[in-house]
Amino acid sequence: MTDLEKLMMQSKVDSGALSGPSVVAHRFDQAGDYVVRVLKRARPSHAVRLTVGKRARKDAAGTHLNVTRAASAEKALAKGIRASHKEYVLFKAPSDAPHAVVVHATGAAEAGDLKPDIPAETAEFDSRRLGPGDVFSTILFRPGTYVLKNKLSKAAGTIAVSYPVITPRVPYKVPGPVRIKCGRDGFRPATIKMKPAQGLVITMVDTEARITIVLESPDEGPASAAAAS
Amino acid sequence: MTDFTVAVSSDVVEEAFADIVEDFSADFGGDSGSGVVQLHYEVAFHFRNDTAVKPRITLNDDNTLSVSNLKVLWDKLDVTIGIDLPTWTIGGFCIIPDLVHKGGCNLRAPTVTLFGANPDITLPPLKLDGFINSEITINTSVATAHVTNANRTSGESDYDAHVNQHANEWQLKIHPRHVNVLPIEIDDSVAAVFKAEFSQALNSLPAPVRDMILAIFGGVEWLIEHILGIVGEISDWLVQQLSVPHGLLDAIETKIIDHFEEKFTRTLTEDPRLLMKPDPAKSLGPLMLPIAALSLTINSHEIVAEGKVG
Repeated sequence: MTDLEKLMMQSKVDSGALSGPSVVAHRFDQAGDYVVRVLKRARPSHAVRLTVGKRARKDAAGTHLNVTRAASAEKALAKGIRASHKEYVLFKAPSDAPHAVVVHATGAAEAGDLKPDIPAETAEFDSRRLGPGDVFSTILFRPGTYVLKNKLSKAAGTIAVSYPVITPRVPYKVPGPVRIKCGRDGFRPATIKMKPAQGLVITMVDTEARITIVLESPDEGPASAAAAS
Repeated sequence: MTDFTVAVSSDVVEEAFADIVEDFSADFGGDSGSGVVQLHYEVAFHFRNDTAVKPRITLNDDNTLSVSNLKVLWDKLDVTIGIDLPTWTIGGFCIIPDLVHKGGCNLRAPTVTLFGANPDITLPPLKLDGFINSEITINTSVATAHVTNANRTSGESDYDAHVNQHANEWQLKIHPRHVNVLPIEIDDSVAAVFKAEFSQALNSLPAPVRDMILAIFGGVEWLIEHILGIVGEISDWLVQQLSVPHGLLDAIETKIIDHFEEKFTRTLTEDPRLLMKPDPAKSLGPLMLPIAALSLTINSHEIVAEGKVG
């Protein structure tokens, strides 16, 4: 299966196991130095220094941190990354393996070094346990009905991704993202309809969450959809 | 002023030509194309000598030779078409809108680029050998070339070289100026085969992936017309793809030129030319005539070489 097929046939996403188009974002309200520890396949992999400046940037549009440990990214990871006060930092991972990130302020004991092992102190941010204000975003390609869950509560919902419609001579345009909230009272809305390749943005409101979206019944398309014949 | 003349008759030229036609075969592979369409071809062919109208070489009064009725028999002409779909970028949507500045965004999703591979779709090999009729025309000039015999040793006299068959030579060579694989005609029935293989390539993908690709590009027809650029007959498009610079036709023409240049070489005379053998009884050495220059003209009956002694 090619990378394209893997991406388009993905049947499960998890905010605590990031890969491909699934990302999480956290806003750092306190300036200071942090250590981002990366877990790959749930095992400590490496760490990156994150410095959050005191002044907000004028054109602040968020900082993207690719947590991959590819050779090309090694230098940037060693150097660390800078973000601005009250700016969102988006954590993204490659498609080859699930990743998680845990961020500690360097003031905490054993948190100042770049050892990948996760210290016992309370984390400023943990992608496996998102907090209020944190955001999870993904893109679903594969048509079908998904079960949406917050694994840290009993909240659940459904997402229906429609089958691609082939309109002769009219290239498909992806609509804007669907936005939902995840709170103590569950997902709002809890029943979501989406188009393929449409973005999904879930904002945590007043609860902790680990979001999972699992394909329950795939839609293989109408028999007549064999448009290539 | 001409010191001597050597002529090569049209019969000799035709005989040499028949040998060259009989002797030729090509079997090679290559790649061509750029941008959306890339081709890989595996080709084997030879010249037909079984047709009612035989291949013919004609000596022209304008100092050229023309080859006509040279039909190609394709033993193999497999073309694999790779399609590099235009990249399609999604994502990049706003995750955190800026509630203060209208239309602003505090955080955007990363973009995802699809169809970054090259090629994205590879069709099964299209076997064109049964669909193509080709004839080759050649227009060539001739020239003389002075060739030093590589086997000649430094102490070897001209006469010894003659005896040992190490003599230098003036040779007749041809320089094909135009080789055209014309007309290259692909039968229109190839369209059905092409469409079947195109469908096969798409249908090998999981249905949702195939239909997502088709949705992105507005269906098969749009994909064929706007991505592959096929607006008319598929056979014409294939001819166009095979005819791109440095493509298959160029490669075929180069093979033919190389073959004719290599094989159509005839010795006109040794240099120096032996006029009289040595006669030890009379204490006479050999009489050798050095040839300084040799020029050619062609008329409809013969190729004439005029030489200068020096």
